[in-house]
Amino acid sequence: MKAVAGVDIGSLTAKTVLLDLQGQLLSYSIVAAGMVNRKAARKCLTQAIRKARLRTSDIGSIVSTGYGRSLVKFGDRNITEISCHARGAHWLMPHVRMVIDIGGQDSKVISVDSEGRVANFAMNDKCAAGTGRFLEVMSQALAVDLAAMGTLSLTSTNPAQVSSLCTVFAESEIISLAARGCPTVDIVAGLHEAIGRRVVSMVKGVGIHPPVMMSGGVAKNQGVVKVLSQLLKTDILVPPEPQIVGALGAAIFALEE
Amino acid sequence: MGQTNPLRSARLGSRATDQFYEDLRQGAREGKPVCWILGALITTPMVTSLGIPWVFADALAAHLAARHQQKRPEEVAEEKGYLRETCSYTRIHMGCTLLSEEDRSKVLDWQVPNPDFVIITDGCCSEWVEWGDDVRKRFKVPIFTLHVPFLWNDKDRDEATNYVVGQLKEMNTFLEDTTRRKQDWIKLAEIINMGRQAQDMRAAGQQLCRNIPAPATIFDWATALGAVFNSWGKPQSVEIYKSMKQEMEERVARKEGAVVGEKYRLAWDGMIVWPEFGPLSKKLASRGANVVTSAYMWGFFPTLMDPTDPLKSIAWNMVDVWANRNLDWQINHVAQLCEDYKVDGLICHAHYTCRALCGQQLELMDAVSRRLDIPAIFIEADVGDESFYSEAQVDTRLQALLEMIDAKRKRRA
Ligand code: SF4
Repeated sequence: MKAVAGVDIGSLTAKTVLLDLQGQLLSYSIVAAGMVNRKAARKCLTQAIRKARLRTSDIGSIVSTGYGRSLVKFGDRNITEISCHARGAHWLMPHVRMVIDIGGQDSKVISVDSEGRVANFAMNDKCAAGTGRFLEVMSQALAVDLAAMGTLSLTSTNPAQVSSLCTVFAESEIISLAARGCPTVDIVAGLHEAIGRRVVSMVKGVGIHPPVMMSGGVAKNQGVVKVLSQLLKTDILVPPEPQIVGALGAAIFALEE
Repeated sequence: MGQTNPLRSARLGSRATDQFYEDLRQGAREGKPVCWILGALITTPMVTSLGIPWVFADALAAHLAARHQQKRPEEVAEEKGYLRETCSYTRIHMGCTLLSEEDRSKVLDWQVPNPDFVIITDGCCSEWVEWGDDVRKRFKVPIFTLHVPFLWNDKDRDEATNYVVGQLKEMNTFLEDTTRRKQDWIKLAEIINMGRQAQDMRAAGQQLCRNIPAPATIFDWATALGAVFNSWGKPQSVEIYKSMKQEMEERVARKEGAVVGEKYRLAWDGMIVWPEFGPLSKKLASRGANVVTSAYMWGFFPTLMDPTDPLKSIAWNMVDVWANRNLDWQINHVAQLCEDYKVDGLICHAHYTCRALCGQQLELMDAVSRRLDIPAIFIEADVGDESFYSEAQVDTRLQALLEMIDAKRKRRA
């Protein structure tokens, strides 16, 4: 056995992290899953193994996480993304005490203790309001590249008022804003503010504990990060690859097995 | 890892429930007036003692939801204009009465008899009053509404109880006038006495759940709930609780738990997710989690039952019921239960269409969690409408709760 793996099957992407037996990062891989499925999990793991120039037989323990965690039949154990994000964040930045994870279809606020364990958490309800999927739909409605939304919104000086976070209602709201001549940058900035307000209410439910890290795909959106930092009045730390924090945490659990 | 080990005796009531609804239909067929009760269960003795069949609407709705017979009634209610956000008990009950012949044969095989009169109480929940107004307009039947003041302070209890006793006397006049029957006070005293015996048995059984492993889960108590509600004040209710207590005592002697491999002891706040009753109990048990206590599950059982003063007993138990108390009282109560039953974590069920019983849940959850240093989670679902239930979300939250308990144990070790 040369390595352990953490596999995070989210609603839109699958992520794998391989660690060597000393806990050093060997490789990672991110695969668009389309929807939660076993094939994506297997493909993602295979990619990471190939990148690390290892063979499947070199992998000892595998821990799965994410919404599709129970689909990963080749895993030894599954652990919630809540515990895995806390552990992954702690590994990356041990001083972090709060993680905001906005993924494809849900968002979570996790308060983390000094050992990287979950002290408390809050999750959005079952609707995908204000998550990655929400931004994806809005980018399509506005015909703006999803990856460019973050930087685009930074140029806004007058964010629009977007009151709804329901994907359906917000879509019609932004279409009518655009029809009234509201600049796209302001609409995008308004969307980010709406997401920020939603996350802040979850943070307040748990109680803010800086330093705060953001994980999940939406952490790549600088506009959302900026809004959150302003609303929470604290810096938001973003790791170089925020999408793999959950898989990393799962790999750390695998190492402990 | 773990698995369920349900109490056999908790199921004893299922025949009693079927019999109850059969008696209701028979009573209606014989031309007896039918009473609907929208509100406190504890008003039923005054109707039973008159020999009048009654339906406790919430119990019927929960009964149907637990059997997955609620969907079509909910759809029918929506088709008739009830919003999806309306209390699902209201939608299920009203939907049942509005089912077409064709639907009825698919859902129930029988019709809920229409009301000849309705008793409403407004304590704990305002839904009953609005629901009652709808029933009044729809069926054009007389209604008696009983106001139960919220109990802010213990010192107000006697005054509030006397105020309710006054209304119960008026209610009795209403009952006698409407049914043209005379109240049978001796029978009423007997019913109250039987209620007290059932309560004593239940309380003794409840205490047994302090044992590790606990001999019953709240799912066992919930299994018996409908039958006990419907046979309130009848010998069956005493029998059911007596048998449960006996079976629990045997289990305690053998150190046998209601969850085989009990590893976590949990408390439950809020009502049961009736449509997911079975899967949820299995899901928890499979991880070794036993839900050993719940304010709701034991909250409807009277603390004071005095056969020599039936009206005061009934009034007291409307005023002093757990859901009619302020937040501080509820926090102390839930925290005490968690301590007494040696609980590791708390699950709060936020019911989407019943705001009445979960308005203060966040504060309660925070306060109990902080005071006892135990993790707590929310699950968002509903009492009767399964469209508000997301299995993946519930799975993640429940699993995360158990992981937090594990993390805390490691920290302590
Ligand atoms: S709103 Fe809640 S308390 Fe009121 S009738 Fe409905 S389920 Fe019962």
